Amino acid sequence: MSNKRVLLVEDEPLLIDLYQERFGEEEFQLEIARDGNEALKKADLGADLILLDILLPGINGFEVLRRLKRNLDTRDIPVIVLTNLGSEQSDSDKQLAFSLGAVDYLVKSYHTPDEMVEIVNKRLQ
Amino acid sequence: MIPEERRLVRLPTLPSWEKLLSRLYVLPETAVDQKALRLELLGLISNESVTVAQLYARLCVFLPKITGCEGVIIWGAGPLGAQIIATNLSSKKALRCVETKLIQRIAKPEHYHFNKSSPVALQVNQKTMTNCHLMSLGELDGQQNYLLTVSSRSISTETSRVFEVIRQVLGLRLKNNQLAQNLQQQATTITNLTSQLGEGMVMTNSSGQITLWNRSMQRLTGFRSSETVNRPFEQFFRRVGQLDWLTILSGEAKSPEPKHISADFQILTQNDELRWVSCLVTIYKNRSGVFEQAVLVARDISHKKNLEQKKNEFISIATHELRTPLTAVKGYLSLLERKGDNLTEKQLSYLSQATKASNRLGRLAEDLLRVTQIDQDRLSFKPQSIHLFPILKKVVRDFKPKALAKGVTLSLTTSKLPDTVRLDRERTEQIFANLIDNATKYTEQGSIKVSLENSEDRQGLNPQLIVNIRDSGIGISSKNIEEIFEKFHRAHRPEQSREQGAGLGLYIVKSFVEKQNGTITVKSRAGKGTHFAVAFPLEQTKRSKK
Repeated sequence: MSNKRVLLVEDEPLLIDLYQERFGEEEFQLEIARDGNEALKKADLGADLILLDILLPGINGFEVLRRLKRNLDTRDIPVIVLTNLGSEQSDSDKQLAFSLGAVDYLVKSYHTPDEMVEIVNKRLQ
Repeated sequence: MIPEERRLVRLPTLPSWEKLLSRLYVLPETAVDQKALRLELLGLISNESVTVAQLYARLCVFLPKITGCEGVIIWGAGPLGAQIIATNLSSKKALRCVETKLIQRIAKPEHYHFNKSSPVALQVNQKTMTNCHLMSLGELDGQQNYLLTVSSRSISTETSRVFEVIRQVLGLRLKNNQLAQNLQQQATTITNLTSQLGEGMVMTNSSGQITLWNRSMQRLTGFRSSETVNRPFEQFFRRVGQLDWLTILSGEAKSPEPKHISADFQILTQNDELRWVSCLVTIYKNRSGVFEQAVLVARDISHKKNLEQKKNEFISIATHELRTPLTAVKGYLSLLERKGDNLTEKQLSYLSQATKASNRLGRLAEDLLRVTQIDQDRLSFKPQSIHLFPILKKVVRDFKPKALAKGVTLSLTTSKLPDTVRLDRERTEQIFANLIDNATKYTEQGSIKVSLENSEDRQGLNPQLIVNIRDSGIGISSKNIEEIFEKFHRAHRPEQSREQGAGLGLYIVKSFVEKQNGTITVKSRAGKGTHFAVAFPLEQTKRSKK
């Protein structure tokens, strides 16, 4: 698992620090993108998993997801939507994310960094 | 509603028409052209599209041809004396005939004998008219109308029959005319009344078409009555996520009590502006209980709805905004706990308190968010066939440690009853998690028992699955029990229970149950315990149908 790349698309410094802190203990490599454009550029360079926020400066997460899935180079990268929008139960935002090709929809405030690491490692296996 | 006696009288149709025809027609010696004339006359007087005035004018032409009389005079007796309406004579002559003492005397209602041949000696065209026939026709525009034929020849029985038929049909025509005028007057009165109302008023008929739209509705929507009457009600009134309106009305009409229901609607105005109205709906049904018409009194509540929407939006945004710092707080607390080896016992206990508090804050934010979603009707449900027993088993397992820690037993009675229901799995789990969590919170000793049962109605139909949750907890006083499902209601004051909450849980539970066609009931005695029963329609599987 050593050379796996995880791209975290997140604009909130508080949360970037938090995830960097915990994910740093893991073997995978964590890349950060702070807005939609940066996310698309970094995804182009290759990633094994993308954690995608929805409310982003510039292009929003749904649009990023749409473009990722339209690009032949990035369409196969699994995307987990990680947001504080909507809910993990039956919800219109969640349905939209799945219809655009997300593999999971997680509400940030529901999960501790430990749980996130577990979810990410499971996906990377 | 038009009372029976005010309904328009139908002009003779087939059976009586045939009878009339035979009376005019079965006269072997009558010449062929006479028969044709009579037939034409009959056609004319029974034709509803011919006005009474036109009919009178035609009678003056036809009657001399058919009966051989020389003069026909139709007049109205008003307060200022006789007024000639139609005649084949000059109006001076006609008036002279009518104003003779004898005619005046006979024509007074109390002395009136229709169909009577009266030897009235009238001079018309230098001839003495010895045979006259006077008929009272009925009332038109407030005047009693009479028809007088004057003839120098005697009137045969056959001619009398012709007169009788004419009198009958004309009588009906005039009666109808009067009823139509009365109706028109009433309609005007109703229109005037409803247009004075400050509130909107709409009526719909049994097929859901608008039959009345008053001036306040026009002010509210910009649509005039002419643009809405006879159009479907649902073209203007919308209800989000509800059954179609006619189905609701027909359903409500079946109940035995007189029906008034309240409903909020959205109306799109002529300027494409969305407005909200709150309506009090009165449902009228016929004797066999079938929905006939509905009267809606509508009040503009757009301002209130807008404020409500702003409040909901605010809560929604605030909650989302809360989630981000909350994620950070909970996240860093969990990192601290992870590296907790170097912490003292006291520090660990602070950490545990902070974690509990942040979890509670998180739950509160989620509950608030859910309530705004319920109020905005934005919650979606994904119903699927599920077995309820395994879901209950999981929830009971999740809460067992919490109950045991308080010394309370939490048990689920094993059941092999049919338990297939069509529900949203996650939301259903939330319903029971919430109820069992409550039971655990408010029970300090004894037990919490969860059990399943099946039930049917008296006809053995509509099988249901009922989940009972009985606890031996502190109970709810009868004063509070009515309100426990309301938003922000807390059944227990802080001194009664250490448990905290915003009073949203049971409101959410009830919404989730009812949105899935279920019912929830509660029985409780303070100090003895509480019993919640949640019932859902049982899905008919092959096995349960047998």
